[in-house]
Amino acid sequence: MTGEGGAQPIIHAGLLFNFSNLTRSPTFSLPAGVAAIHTHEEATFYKPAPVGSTITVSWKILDTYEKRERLYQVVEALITTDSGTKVLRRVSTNIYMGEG
Amino acid sequence: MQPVTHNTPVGHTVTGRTKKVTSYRTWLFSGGWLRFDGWPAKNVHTDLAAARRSGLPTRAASGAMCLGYLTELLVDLFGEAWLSHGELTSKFIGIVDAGDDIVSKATVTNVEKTKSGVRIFLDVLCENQDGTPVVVGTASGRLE
Repeated sequence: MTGEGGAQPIIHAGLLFNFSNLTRSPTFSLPAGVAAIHTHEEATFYKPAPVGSTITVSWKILDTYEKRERLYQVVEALITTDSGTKVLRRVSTNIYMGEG
Repeated sequence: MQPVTHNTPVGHTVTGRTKKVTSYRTWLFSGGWLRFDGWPAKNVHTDLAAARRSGLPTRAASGAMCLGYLTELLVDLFGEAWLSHGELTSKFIGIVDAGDDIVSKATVTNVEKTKSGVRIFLDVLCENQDGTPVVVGTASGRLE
């Protein structure tokens, strides 16, 4: 497989966002009836990830707070390649809605 | 679409490709890993009942889908190099429901000279078929 102009193909950024959503974490779970709704996002790109590479996502909870009687959580997601190269850093704010 | 250049003026606005947010696309994005049984997973993005149980009026496509649309526009403007230095900040202000047509837009707000070129700053948004913004934010990218 080759990318545009014969270059090495790279993973679409939309897929990187998908893979690094907090809900993708193997240890993430929510009670039935509760949803995590994305409210803010800050993304910094460092290097494209080639198709076929193994990427690792590390999540870190940066903050939790209440505002207008709702629970917010700020989460950092860092995507790196198997060689340790940074690909994408995200800081996402989620609001938890519903009754669990 | 013409990429941005060192001479792109402040106020220049570009419009990206329109995306039809079909149910199938939301399933593929938010339905979990593909499998024969139990796919798509039921959640606020894929299932109306799940959305209503969580207090939403309807299904809400994942905000990350719009991030993908905005990123596509920014790569169109700056080239793939944007994935090596690009920044994107966004706020999700409206629900994207299955069937919506979403279009991304960007307006140049500032051009700063750097040691090796320029950094271009933009306001970005995604709006639906009614012209209602659903995501607003800012972005920037470098040109050598």
